[in-house]
Amino acid sequence: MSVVKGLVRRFDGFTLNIPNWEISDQGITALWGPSGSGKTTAFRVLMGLEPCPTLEWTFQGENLAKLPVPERKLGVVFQTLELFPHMTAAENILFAAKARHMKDPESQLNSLVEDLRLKECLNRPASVLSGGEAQRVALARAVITNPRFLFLDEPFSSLDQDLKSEARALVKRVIEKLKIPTLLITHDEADLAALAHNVVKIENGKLV
Amino acid sequence: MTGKKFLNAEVATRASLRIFLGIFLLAPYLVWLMWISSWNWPSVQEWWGTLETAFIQAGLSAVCCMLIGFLFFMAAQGWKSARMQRASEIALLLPNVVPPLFLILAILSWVTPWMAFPYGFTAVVFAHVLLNSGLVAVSLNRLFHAKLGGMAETAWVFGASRTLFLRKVALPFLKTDLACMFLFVFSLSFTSFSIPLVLGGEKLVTLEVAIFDSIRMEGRWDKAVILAAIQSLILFLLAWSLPHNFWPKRQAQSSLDYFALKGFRLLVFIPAFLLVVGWISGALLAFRSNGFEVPWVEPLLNSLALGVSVGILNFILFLLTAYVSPHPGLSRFLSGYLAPSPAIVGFAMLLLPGEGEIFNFVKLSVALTLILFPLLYRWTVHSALSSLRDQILTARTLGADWSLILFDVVWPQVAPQLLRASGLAALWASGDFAISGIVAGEMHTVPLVMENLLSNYRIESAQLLMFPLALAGLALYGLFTGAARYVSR
Repeated sequence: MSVVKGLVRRFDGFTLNIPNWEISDQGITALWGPSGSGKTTAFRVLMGLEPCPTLEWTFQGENLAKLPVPERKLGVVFQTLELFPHMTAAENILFAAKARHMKDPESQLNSLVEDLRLKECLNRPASVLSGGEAQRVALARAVITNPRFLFLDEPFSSLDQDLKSEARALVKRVIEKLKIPTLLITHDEADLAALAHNVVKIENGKLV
Repeated sequence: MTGKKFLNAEVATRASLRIFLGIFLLAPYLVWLMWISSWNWPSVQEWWGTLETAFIQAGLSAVCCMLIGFLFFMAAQGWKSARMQRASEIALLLPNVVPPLFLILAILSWVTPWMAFPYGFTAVVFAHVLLNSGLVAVSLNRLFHAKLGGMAETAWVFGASRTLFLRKVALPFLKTDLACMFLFVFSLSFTSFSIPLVLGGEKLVTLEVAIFDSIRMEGRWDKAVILAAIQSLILFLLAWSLPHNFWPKRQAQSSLDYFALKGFRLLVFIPAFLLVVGWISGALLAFRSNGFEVPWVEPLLNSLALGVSVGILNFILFLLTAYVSPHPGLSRFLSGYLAPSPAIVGFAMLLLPGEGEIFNFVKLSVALTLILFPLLYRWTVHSALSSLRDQILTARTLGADWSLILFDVVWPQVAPQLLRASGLAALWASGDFAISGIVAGEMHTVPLVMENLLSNYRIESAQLLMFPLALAGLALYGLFTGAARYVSR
């Protein structure tokens, strides 16, 4: 278990207040709630993108909240994917490996290419990838360095219905294979049914 | 009138107004073309050296602005609270917002106690850097938020160093935007008039000053027009090669903490500090020694009247543009068009018939509008109007006529921005001395009195006059922004 304490953030009349939250360090934990409930803010605070002086996040005996963002060693797939459009799919994935000074990323890349069926699009610029391909590249980029924790922010929201089921199955297979604890943010109940091992509901900035 | 006839009349009115707008903006050139009867093409030697110096000055100014602007941008990311971020943005933009004369006075008051002022190339480049590096920092901030915010956060979470991100992502991805920004700053320095006129000394460092001197010293009106044409051609090529707007709209905030130069955040206040302390120290010195030495109340009233008049004229033109937009040709013309040289506009006004105080006042108001309107359009109005294009097309599809669109769709959404831009026009007009020096005739404005004091090396006395002028400028800006607040309510 990783334990989050003192996750408090106030802005524009909204208060996110999570005094205590235990997140499993295995499998996929889903933070589920309607739009405006504070899911994304909680997610950004945990990654260190929003300030929260009171936060403590103990993971395997270490308080991650005290570490600078890069040293938390996290992986992320944002809703907008945020691929670097001028790079190819392969360059996008290898960028993350380079960022963490990973030695011999090629073997991990090859494995991910196979698991996520990226062979066809590997050398294409990110700007011309289809929605499904872009989503798989973003996932490969997020996991290539075996992060401590993986954050997925509504990762399937931009896909059409047919692609969603396939994408969910692929994501689940890769995460289970790599054994990366994952925090999934979603408002889609189908995501919960297909992926989540644990579900935490959030409403009006509070866990319920 | 039947519906069809009404629509045809409206189309014709819009077309006529577009033509009027084009002719109005090009009027200074047309006046010159009609007035000059014989043309003597100046020899290359007459203008090549000036062009070369102007290029080097503008290039060096732009490079320094980009580098220092980037440093300011990184320092600004150190501020966490929204209030301090806003304060740092205002501080960075302060040199751009105040009339150039204020900037000149601040620089002079810092330098003169320590050494003889280095009039010439160095002083002009320094003034341009002080003027524009904050603008670059704020532009970079908006650009990074708009285009790189999410990518920067992703790279940050992945542990990428800033250098790696800048080298591999930011520079390749933003190269067009950065080139655009560089050339915008280059064109500001290239066409700068007031600063080189006062700080350039005897060495000409811009074509603008060369144009001014061709008329004033040599009486060579034809040479002035040809120099202006060369300058316009260069600017046109710059604008043509970079047609898109470099100033992105403010976007939803993503965190740019990644770029923060922690511990250096106070750097962003340096330009504002140099200005404010320069003004205050100079004015205190003057107040202690002599107090106000020259009459200033009537010139102040003239400056106020000029500001109001230019603000209103700009507002009318903005509204006219809003009515005749969207139109691809007009949009392309206005976003690519740069105002003619102030000397060209100023002397064109002198060529027009009509003399006397009222005529001079009207001519001066029109001249300042011709200079300020294109800049303010590019800077603020273009993006505001462009963002409404789809709404306007939807309204047209629903059958709305152009007047209905103007008053029900466009006006409620852009009127505050148009009024604020007009407020800036009023503020700058009240502080103008360069065009006023050509057109104003017997009319005295505070900046003209100040310039007269400066040319007699009475710097402190000029600085003292800056305070009533600053108050007048703020009042003018407040008048228009107050109207903007009223309208937006």
